[in-house]
Amino acid sequence: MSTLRNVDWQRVLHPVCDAIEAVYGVELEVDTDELAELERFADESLRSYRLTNPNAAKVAGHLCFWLRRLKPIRHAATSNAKLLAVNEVAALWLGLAICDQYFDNASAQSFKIDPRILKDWVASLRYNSHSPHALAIAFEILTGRKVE
Amino acid sequence: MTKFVGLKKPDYGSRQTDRVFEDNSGHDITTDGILTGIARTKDAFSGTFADMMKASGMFVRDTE
Repeated sequence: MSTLRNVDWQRVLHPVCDAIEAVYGVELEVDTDELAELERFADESLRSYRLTNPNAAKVAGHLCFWLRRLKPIRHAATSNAKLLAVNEVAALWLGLAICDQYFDNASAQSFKIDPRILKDWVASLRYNSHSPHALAIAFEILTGRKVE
Repeated sequence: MTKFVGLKKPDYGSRQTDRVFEDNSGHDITTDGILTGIARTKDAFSGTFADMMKASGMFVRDTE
């Protein structure tokens, strides 16, 4: 059964935050209470499909939405730089990471996204309106098998 | 604009969405699986993308 409860969120976000810190020279903090809240809300919104086992793209979409909405990642007071869209970058990275491995069911084994489109997607996540269901569909389209 | 009228509210709860959306064939979303995906997609989030982010208004650096 596809469940969010299996995922150790702290462990999952560590490599993402470490990489962001290294690339942008920032210092980050993650609120683990908010990760628990994120899991609860994603679990609830995924139930709207009435599926026992929603596919990876749907899970990715809902997690991406709640991560950029609840924003559990913050900059430490000692950070000398700020990536204002840090939660949005992490959310998109997490979503793509989930989709990346489920190549035999609604996802391609590997996919390349133009860096400009990736940047625009991050900006849109930060500044525009999104819904968990719209993000889920975006991941379905992005990672879906191409029709011949 | 068409106006829809009626005394009875639509029964959204009766929709069978599980017949519309594709279901999963049994993949679990696990911690190890996500960690693998994070490693595999690392290149996409560095290099040109990171340079673009740094050049955008979404990045602030202490200039003192």
